[in-house]
Amino acid sequence: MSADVTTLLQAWHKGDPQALEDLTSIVYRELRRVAHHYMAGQPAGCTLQATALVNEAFLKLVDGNRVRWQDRNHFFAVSANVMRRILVDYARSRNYQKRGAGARPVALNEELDAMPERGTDLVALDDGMNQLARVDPRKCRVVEMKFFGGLTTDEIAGVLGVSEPTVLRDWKLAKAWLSKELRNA
Amino acid sequence: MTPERWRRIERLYHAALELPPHERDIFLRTECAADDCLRQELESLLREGDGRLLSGRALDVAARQFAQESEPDLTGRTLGRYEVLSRLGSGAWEWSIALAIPG
Repeated sequence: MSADVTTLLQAWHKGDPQALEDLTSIVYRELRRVAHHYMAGQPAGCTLQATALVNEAFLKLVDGNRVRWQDRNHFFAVSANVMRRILVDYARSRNYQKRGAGARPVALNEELDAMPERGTDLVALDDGMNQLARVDPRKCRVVEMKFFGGLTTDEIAGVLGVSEPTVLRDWKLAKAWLSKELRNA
Repeated sequence: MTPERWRRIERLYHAALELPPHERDIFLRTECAADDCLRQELESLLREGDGRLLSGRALDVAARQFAQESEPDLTGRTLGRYEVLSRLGSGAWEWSIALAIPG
């Protein structure tokens, strides 16, 4: 499967629109697989384990050794951008379904409150990132590579051609600004 | 926001972070002088601290939301003073409810 993803990412980067559709179905398959672990009723405390599993799953999608057309880090940066597109589109389609139902969500009591938290609104986050990109594109890319692509600070520094402390400072301010924006959204 | 203003925010934000918390207030008041908007913007950014936003990975966030779509059926259950009537949407939180009137 990893070979497929690598080939598809290369095809998409060269402008083949069909490649993005194929990548989407592969990422959805991963999503379902990971979601099953959550649905298996694992108690609290397994979150870390599940997160490690997700990162592993994503890394398995891309076979960095087969990358010839650019260096490995840039390839992962492209895959982070693809991941962002796919996951935000997925979240947007879910939001659309909710709006279509004409209902406003409401927390009923502690029984419902105890359900897994809803987590970050990826659509609102994407909007915030686009706003951020208008004044500071590099910080938007840092968020994309770290949060959507799972790249390390070291890898991000390599892609952007800046030092690791610069990446960390970008990340810190971008995170504070996005938190503030999403809170006020 | 202009890129110039953003760069000013960035410089002051990191400078303030390097100070002990009790010195930040006077630092911001001095640096921002008459620009209350700038000071408030910086204060709210500094308040965000190390929030939980972006603490995981996007795929993980999406997978959790995906899993929530498969929550068990709540139809007919009583939750406090409410009775769940039917499912409205695809998420775990979209349920039609009615007040359960006793007797």
